[in-house]
Amino acid sequence: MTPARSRFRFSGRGLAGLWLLLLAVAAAWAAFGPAAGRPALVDVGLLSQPPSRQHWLGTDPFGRDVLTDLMLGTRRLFIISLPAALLASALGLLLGAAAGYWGNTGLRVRRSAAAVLLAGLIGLLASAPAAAGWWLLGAALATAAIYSRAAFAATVAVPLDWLVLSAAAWLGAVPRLVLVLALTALHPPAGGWLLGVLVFTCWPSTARLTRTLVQQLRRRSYVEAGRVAGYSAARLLWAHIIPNAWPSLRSTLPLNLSICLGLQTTLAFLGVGLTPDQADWGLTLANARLEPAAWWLITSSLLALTLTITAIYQLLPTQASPLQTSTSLASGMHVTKS
Amino acid sequence: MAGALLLRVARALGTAWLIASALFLLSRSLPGAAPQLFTDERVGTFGQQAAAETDYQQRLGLQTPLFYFRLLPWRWHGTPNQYHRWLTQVSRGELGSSFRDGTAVTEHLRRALQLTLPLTGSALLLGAGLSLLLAQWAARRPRWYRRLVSAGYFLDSLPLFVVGMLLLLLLANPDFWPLFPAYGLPADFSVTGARPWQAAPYFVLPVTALTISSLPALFLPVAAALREQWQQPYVATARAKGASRQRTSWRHVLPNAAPVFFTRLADLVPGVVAGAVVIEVVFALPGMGRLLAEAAAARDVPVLVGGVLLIAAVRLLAWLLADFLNVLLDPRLL
Amino acid sequence: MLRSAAIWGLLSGIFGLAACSPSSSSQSAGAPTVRVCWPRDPESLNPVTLPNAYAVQANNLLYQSLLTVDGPARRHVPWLAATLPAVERRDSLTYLRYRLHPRATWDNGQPILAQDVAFTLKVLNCPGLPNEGLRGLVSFIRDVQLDAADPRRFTLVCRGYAPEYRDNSGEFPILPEYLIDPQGRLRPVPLQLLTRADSSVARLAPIRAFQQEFNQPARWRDPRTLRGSGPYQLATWQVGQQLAFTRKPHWWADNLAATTPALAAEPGRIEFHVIPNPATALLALRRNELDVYPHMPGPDFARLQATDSTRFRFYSPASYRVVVLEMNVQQPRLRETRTRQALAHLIDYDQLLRATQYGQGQRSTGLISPREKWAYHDSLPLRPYAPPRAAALLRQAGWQQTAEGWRRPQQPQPLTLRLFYSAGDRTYETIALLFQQSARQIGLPVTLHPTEAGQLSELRRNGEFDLSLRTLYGNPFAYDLRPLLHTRSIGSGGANRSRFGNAASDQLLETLASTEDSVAKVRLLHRLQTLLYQEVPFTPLFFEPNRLAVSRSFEHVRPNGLEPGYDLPSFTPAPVQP
Repeated sequence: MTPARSRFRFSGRGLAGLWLLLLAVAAAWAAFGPAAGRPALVDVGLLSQPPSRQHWLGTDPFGRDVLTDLMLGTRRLFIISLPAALLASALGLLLGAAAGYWGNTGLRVRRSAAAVLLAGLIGLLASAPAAAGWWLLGAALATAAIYSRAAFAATVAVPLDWLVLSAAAWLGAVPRLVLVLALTALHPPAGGWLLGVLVFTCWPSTARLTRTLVQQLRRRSYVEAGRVAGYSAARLLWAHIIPNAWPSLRSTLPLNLSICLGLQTTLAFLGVGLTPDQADWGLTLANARLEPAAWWLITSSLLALTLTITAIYQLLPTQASPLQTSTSLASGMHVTKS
Repeated sequence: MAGALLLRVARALGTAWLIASALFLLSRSLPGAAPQLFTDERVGTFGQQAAAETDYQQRLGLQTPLFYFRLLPWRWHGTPNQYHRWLTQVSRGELGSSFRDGTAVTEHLRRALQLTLPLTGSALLLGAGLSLLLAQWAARRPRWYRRLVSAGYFLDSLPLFVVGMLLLLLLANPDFWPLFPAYGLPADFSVTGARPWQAAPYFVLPVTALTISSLPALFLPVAAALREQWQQPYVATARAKGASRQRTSWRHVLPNAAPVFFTRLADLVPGVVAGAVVIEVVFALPGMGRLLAEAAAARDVPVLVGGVLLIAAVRLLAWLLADFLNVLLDPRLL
Repeated sequence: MLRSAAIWGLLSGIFGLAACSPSSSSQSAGAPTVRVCWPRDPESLNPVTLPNAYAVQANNLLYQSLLTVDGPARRHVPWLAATLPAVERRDSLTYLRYRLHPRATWDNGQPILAQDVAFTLKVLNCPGLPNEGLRGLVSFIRDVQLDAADPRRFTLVCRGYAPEYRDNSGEFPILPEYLIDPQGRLRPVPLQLLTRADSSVARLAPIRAFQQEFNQPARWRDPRTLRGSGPYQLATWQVGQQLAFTRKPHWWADNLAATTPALAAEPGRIEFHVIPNPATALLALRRNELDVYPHMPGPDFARLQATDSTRFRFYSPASYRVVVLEMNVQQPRLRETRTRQALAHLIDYDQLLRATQYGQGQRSTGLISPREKWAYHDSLPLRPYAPPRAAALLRQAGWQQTAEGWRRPQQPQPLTLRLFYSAGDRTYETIALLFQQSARQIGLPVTLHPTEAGQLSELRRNGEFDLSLRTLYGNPFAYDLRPLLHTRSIGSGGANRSRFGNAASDQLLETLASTEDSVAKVRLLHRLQTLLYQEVPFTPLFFEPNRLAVSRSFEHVRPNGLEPGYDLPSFTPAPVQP
């Protein structure tokens, strides 16, 4: 790598950091500043005005200043969207890695514990939504009780891969409206709950990709060697497999942010989560639907979003862990094909 | 090998059935999920609305119990239940009939697929081909790679309706270039009918929009995987042995990055069947996305569950196919 | 270079193809094609189902009823009937004597007889058919008496009396027995047996056979069986995309249009294009791919008026649709009348009209349109936007303004209100934002709850809201407001979502429903309007206009305030202007 290139990369990272810092300042202003808790002013005299002196980025179809709206929107970006994207990525990585590493046969649990969990799941599906928590709690307690004893030691393989893929398929296939109805029946929508819903629905694509990459890497000789040496599964995954999968993952993880934002606006149309008085980037972008000719609305919110996603990409480490150097040597991945 | 594959296909279909069953039970037991004859816009005759509503529910068979039994408090209902009726229908290859117009669900799905398959299928093929070529090209050019990654993130943050409206306002607008039809299809369009290519201009804008929006999801991970492979020592070995750049990139590098490509592609395949509701609304095309969205809004559960069963089956089979292709490329994965 | 030239040639070929295909709809001078934009599919053309306004509109081209509405004149006129029915009240029954038009025939040449009317009523009352919605409409008809001497004369025997009976008795489509029940299965079944709510009827063999035949979905898409005495027949129906009707070459009223405007059927072909996205519909209209764009969104209407007034005519007659802010009077914090009155003063009505209706639309003091001068109580003043007055009213209602907001002395929680409305509706969204903003001025927090339509219905039915935005659909004919305001209409029994009412108001509504149009009725209506004005179970925001853009190549649009807002069959090509 030439010095010039590295300086460029540094400045790219610097700019990215600067942008996110700016956003954080805006978020702090939106959360604690004089305008905190007050949405941008609706002015029916200024519906969908193009950029001008007073309104640098124009106004939206409700007569609100777009710049103010975007700045106020950073608060939700930091409270909901970014954490949701982060957690969804983490959950996807975890589930994908587990499914890819253990497959359908690798992980074994006690047979009695499996029976208890299964019974809990069936009860969950068949009972009233309000009782769902009790079923979960009961199953968890019973499992803990089983593992605290030495008896019932016979084990059974958990079809982890199948479970993860089925859950992902279910989430992908079920219409959002039904999902929203189910989730609101469980719990009235509120702040932390929305975060949970977003994480719960956004993880599958990351999990699928991670699963494939882990499947590909777990049969590598260095992983086999590690296993023979008695390394734990977690250590193998964390120190040897994920670092090799990282370059492919790094480019897709930032996409989770726009997935989360998109899902948030979809949910808003279904009447869950966002309300029009809350400033949010996804909503600002979705308001463009009302006035397709309002280019300033689309351009400004898109620009902000793209800059943020690119900044996150820049800031994600190019190498996942310091152990990477030792493993990449071993990656004899040359597929011989005649 | 064939036996294992068959087993996995059977398991995928079983999973699809599980998914549809879960949806069936969920969508009929939730509050606000039952269809209503009278909405806030449609008011019944005074004193008779409740009776009419009961008749309506009865005609749709919603009065019978939902499942074989009820837990908490326990009650056994036996076979005359909604789920059993649906299951017997499914076992006969039927999916019931729509609550709204009594038409068979299979007929609804067939009609919607006739439009959705050519639309989203061509978009997927175009998107896959373009992104693969672009990724191959960009993987060896670091500077272009970085630019394209930024462009990819930009495209990815563009919501589909923005892409659709932009194309519409630029290329179907009498004020700019009214090159393409703004909406719909020719009056007598059918895939199997005479001269289906006449519909081609109607498809240009929606297919372009869908292609643009599917590009980043494929291009970004594939390009990243390819770039990583180019830095591996075996590339230098292959080049040292005299393999050309082209040959190296297609015969040596690509197979190693192919699992990423297939995985992402398999994620997009179900969309071919599920349709793209936003594009279908913008271009006024009656496809699968709109069918399911309207069915969900009207609580037309048979259509909804039938559609989900189909989409889930396609999704699981696509994933299976991706796994299978990955194994073919790298037998160690089995 | 060569390759790019070839590609360019190919592209321009496609473009050329594209450019020529949409403009293929040529218009012959005699019987023009009218292309209308619809936001959604009618879903079902079954004449006994009619799930939405679009299905009704399409059905009125295929089938005819005894009476029809003359939109501009705002009254019922005879259609299949020769004249309006004669009304006679005897004992507790009402008799409506009809005579069918002497020249009315079905498409097979057979005359339309009283027997067909009796058959239609049997179909509408038959159990097991998708007719639950329409059954209530004719439930007041107990029996039909045929005239032995004249097969076109018949008498409808109705329970009790209401002034609406005359109009309502002529509103259902008359169905052809020869097409729907060729075996005459329903003929031996007496109507009175079907009108009785008796579950054993459904098990009779002829009824079950008829049900099975009637409920085949394919027959309600087939132009051969989906036809009535109307001037049009179904040509094609591409679900979710296009619906086309063509003029029958021979129709029974072909020569009668000159004397009876209701029997006009000028266009040779009527196409309904389903375009759910308003921006796309606007483009299509501007590209001459559509001729009629009804119920246009306000901003698009204003913009099109500014840019394309040479090619389109614009109409905006006041409709009978009123947007109201409903208040749940059973909610403890809204139980006090003055609290509700205070909220009605927190709406900036003029700004609202400007922001959502672009200056059009009309305010009102109640549910009755100011256009109906005889019924409208014009001495009630329109409520002004007055936050100070709202604050004063709140204080009178026992609320005290504190640092945390408005609160009652004994209650720990300050006053907050939840405003529900249908998600994704721009008009409602604007209203909600403006209301929230003006409530904030007096320190009253309002949370917005945009909700999915089906779920919102459920919440409203169960009374789980404080405030909600709703559009009420009225008409100038009936003043039976019991479904909206009676206490028995609370919950699933009707549409009384504000849960307003007491014994006195119920009594008033019932008297009103059975009073003939007269001075007494006006007095009752004024009393009701005053009561609603004071009690404020809802505050009317505005009556919407029926915004309509029609290509200048047509005239005789007959715009009006009733659904659908224009009279398609009367459209004629406009003379070409030099």
